[in-house]
Amino acid sequence: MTFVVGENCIKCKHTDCVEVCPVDCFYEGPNFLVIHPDECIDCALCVPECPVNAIFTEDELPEDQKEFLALNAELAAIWPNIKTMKDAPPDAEQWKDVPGKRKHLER
Amino acid sequence: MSEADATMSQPAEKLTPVNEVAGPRVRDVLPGMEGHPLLAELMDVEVPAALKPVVDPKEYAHRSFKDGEFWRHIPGYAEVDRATFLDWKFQNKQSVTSVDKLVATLGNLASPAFIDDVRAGIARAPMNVRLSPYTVALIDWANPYQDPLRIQFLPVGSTQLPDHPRLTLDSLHEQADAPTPGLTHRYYDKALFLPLDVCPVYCRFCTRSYAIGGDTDTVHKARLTPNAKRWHTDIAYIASRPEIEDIVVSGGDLYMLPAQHVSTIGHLLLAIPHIRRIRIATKGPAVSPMKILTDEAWTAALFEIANAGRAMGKEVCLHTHFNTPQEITEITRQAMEVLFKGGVTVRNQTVLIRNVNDSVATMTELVRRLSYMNVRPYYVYQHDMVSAVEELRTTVQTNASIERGVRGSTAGFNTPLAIVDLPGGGGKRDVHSFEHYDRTTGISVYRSPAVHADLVYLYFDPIDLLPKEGQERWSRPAEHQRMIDEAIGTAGLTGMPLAVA
Repeated sequence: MTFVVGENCIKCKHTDCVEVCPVDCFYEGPNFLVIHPDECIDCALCVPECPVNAIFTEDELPEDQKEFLALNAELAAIWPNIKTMKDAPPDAEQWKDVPGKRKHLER
Repeated sequence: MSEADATMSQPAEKLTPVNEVAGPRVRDVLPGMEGHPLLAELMDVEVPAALKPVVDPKEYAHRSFKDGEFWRHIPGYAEVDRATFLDWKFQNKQSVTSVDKLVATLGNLASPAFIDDVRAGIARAPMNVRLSPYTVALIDWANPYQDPLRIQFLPVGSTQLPDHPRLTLDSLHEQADAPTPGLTHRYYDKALFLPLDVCPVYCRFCTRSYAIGGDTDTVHKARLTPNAKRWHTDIAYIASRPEIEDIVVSGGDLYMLPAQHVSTIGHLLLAIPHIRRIRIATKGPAVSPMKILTDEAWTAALFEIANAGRAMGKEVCLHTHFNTPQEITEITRQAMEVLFKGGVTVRNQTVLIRNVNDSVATMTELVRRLSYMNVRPYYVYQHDMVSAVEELRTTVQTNASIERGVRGSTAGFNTPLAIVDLPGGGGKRDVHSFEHYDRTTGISVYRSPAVHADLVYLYFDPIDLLPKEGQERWSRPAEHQRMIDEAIGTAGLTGMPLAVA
């Protein structure tokens, strides 16, 4: 089991989650965060921290976001680790809950 | 003072009876202490003749703590320096959670046959695997079948026995006594609060395998995820019950919560007027003692709530779970010293486990080692009736015999109570306090008047350790109820309802 960062993180990237992670298993891309599935200990601490509710358990990932499970695993292996919170992008609020953000994901 | 002065100011032979050789002086038995400001004046005092024989230094083995870079012999940690190994996040992050990672970490230290056996064990286990690098480094991988840490945390298929027929998943009935998820109220003045369901290690014998440590191939769990809304609901219940004075915070393990949450939970509980005592139960120091030394924010949060409690006249203490002398190293000793100097009382609860600590010698060494670190040995639990770990349980007789052997080896306040946490929710009872114990059928009969006055409770010894006659009777299902009725009848309790039907 692992937790998975879903579509709503794209272009919002608040990073509140990384502050509470007991194992530092978040990895950071240009406009999105991912969880390393082999490092996640399944504790769920990050879930309520996310201001845009983008984090799900593997089992509860919405049907139309199933690809994010593999995407988290793939990108966590490439992106750098993030341990401390940083400012969200200035336009994060405008992108909250905007549908179809998948196409904006930068690698 | 005057006697010491006299000793120092007069030639030694004047104090020695005629024709007798002078015995050793304090300077002979405490070498290197001559310059001590207080002991200096004792240096020439003659040591009284002993009535007891000289003690073999092996008796002090409990004072020798494993030190040095003992992890380097593990191929996966060969390049890990001390600072990295002592980093608590390294321990969390590099924990072994799968067979593949175990193989990658151990290299050729473990045989392929053993690894296959681990795979078979995990397939049936109710608990996931999670081994910190510290624990991995302390296991003797040349003899993994005998190793007491391997036995506790890593299942193998080949040693597994069938479950006892009277075993249930939540054997202590914690869920039945939970008015709201994560809060169990069983004893009159005490409640158990479970803020989260993950731990730094997963004990194979976990009594809370109904909830803790995530789903496995064989068990789907009732999750207790950490979130403020559930915590507030649990604390609201505590606030509504003025008889509760005592809170055990367990889980799951507060070791896994960030400092700010430890602080929040601690202060919220302390603020409730009728709460007088908070106990934080953690397996952490047994598997990752370095966290106390290197997670400064977490340790500071613990001190902060302990000090806040003390200022209010309330106690905040830590309950650890060391089971063997082997898991206690110099890192542990330093960590426990930090807690002691910080004024946090630490007590230990041990589980009695077959081939891990079920001998007087091992238990005595554990008790002495804990005492040496100012950790109070509080309980030795009879192993709970938990699924898929039958080969870890012992008989009630074993627990009673070890208690008899350990008591007297050190001070009474450092001697643990041997108890059985009664299946069915009767709470903890002195293991010797049975109404009746049939050593052939392995059935012990207990009552718990302060918890449920009108119920009778049973504990069942593992069948493979019973005499042949007992094993034979358990092999026939028609005999089961008859053996139970016999035991209750001999106890003089026929007609009293059973806690576990």
